[in-house]
Amino acid sequence: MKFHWFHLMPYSDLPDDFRQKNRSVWVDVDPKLFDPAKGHRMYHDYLDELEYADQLGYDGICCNEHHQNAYGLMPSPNLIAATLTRRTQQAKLVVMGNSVALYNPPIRVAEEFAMLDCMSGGRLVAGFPVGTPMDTVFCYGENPATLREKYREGVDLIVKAWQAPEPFVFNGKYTQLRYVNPWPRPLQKPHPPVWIPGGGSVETWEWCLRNEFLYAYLSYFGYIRGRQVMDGYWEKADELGIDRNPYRAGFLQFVAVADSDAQAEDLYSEAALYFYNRCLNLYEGFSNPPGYTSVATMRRGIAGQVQAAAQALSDDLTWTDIVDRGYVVAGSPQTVIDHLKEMADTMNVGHLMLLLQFGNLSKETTMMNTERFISEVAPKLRDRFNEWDDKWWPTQSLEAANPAAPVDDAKASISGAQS
Amino acid sequence: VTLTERTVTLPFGPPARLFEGGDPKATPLVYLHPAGGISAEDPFANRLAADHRLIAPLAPGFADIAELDDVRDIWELGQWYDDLFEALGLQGAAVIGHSFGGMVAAELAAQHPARVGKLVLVAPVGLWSDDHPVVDLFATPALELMDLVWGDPTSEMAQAAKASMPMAAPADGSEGAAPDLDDKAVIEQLVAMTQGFTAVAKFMMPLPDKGLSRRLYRVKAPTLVLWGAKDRLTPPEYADDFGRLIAGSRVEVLDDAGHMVTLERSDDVVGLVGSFVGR
Repeated sequence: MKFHWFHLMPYSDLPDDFRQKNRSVWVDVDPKLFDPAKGHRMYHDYLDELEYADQLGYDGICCNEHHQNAYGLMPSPNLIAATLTRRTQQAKLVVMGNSVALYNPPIRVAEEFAMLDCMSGGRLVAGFPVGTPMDTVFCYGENPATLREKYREGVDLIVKAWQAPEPFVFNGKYTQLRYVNPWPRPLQKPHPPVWIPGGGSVETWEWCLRNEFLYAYLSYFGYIRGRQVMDGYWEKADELGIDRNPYRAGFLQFVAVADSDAQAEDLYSEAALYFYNRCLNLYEGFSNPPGYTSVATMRRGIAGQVQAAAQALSDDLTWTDIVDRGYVVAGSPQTVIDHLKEMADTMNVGHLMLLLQFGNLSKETTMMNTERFISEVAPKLRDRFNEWDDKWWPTQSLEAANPAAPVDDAKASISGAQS
Repeated sequence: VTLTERTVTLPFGPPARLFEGGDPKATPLVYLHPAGGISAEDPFANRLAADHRLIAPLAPGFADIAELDDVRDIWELGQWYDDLFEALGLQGAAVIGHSFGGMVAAELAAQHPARVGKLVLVAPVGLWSDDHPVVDLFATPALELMDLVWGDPTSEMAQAAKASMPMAAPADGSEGAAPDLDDKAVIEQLVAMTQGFTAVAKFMMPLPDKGLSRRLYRVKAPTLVLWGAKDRLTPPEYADDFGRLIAGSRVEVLDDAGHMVTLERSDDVVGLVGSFVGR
């Protein structure tokens, strides 16, 4: 099993009455609530946390893309990933990812991901989400009737561009290019692993399985509710005669480690409730524009996760609610181990993405959580699924990716050259 | 009257599903429906069919969302209707469109002026003004939208329409009901609504003016613009905008009606249409 440290980069200073005075954390959230000086501090704290996760031996560190969103300060995840290439050494950079239909032309994504793969020495995992309705339809004006088709066409173009031995013509429905020839080229061959973060759309399962893309179900509602979606994914694999290799799948889970279950509440409940009651305060009208959810998904009766959020979170949640429902796995190391073993058994997921910072959790507590998870929880789960081969993971990373050259070294080499 | 349904194959895009009724020897009147779609039982279409030979095509995508892939943009939508009129032998026809259908009618009359001999636009979308924005149909929960479309949302007609929605509040009066996703009939009702709204979204998002304001000058047909004075979805100020952009057009704003003026003031609308287009 692999463990990935996932940051949403929430704005951590929303007022106590945010939910009462604002209809949505996303799309039309009050711009006056953003303090750039606090933003400066948050970005650097959050980068410190990601770098710490690399130092402690997490397999991957993850960032993602949201727009006009007070719980996700990364409109450009590639800027964060680029920063991380300089001060991290081992962890793979899991960019989850670029919402392809929002990049015009989408070849921009092929270029930037190739840059990141070169800069990181082949540590990139290339994530291609459709993007939520808030990001794509309402913030970026994409049409929900054509979004998915445009997105698929863009992914096809990018994957082809990375592998093409010569410049080629792309005559698509949404993109026409006379000369496709991205420079630089990705270090990993034939291309970096492709991960598809999904919210539970049924056609995405088959598309991932047929293309050998990893499917990652990014839910804020934990493994108990997530099981319905992962069951559907594995049933589709059976139907297509494809193996149930757990490394075909990723899942996102909030985790909070403490000495005891009682201490977990003391340490984490305020931050968790900040996330669920402020950060997920989403206007229902933004959650499901017509056409965003496919007819097949509607017929399967899977409400999109954001729609579920808007409906499920109409009342203030308590710590007991979010722990009992499995939204947050919290408690002593043994409690967390037990829950995550159950998750591994029921969902068959090899890539566990961990939200160890959430809401307004402080840097100190975040680092403690990060350290305790990797030293006290991860070793008990690490061997799970060892019988399977992970074919969705960077394996060609360079031995010594060059870190930032210290200024003193540079000065020394200059004076050496002069003497 | 109950309308009959038939399908016409076209050289481009999906086949057209037509609802027809009325005196087959009378002059045709083409009715282009709003976002709610059309069926054989549609009350306003049946009222029109009592006085006219009515031809009411279902817009592409409403029956099957996959068909929309073949109609890429507002130009291809115009092309599809032009082909349909060709297949039906319609030239210089009388056309009435309501709401989304009004936008389609206006586009057809601007893109293919010879097809349309008389034009009636009932609370059409298709324009945009920062001063009086159209409600964001696609970011408004369905039940709220159902209140906004009526001049008087407390009327019996409005309440009955709302109660028939799949996400309507249960009979016990509890609030905030979500659609029951375990009920297949509810899901099919949602699918039907969603397909229609997706088709509309394709040609209206993020803002409804796809250049119509720049080509309305091409409309040659005598035009009647009808609006409900209490329209809270597409404010009545747009009646003046359409009136200004279509030379020689006549604007009528009816009291005591909202966006669903075709049902709220049905007799008056049918009367005005009859005297404007003839019978």
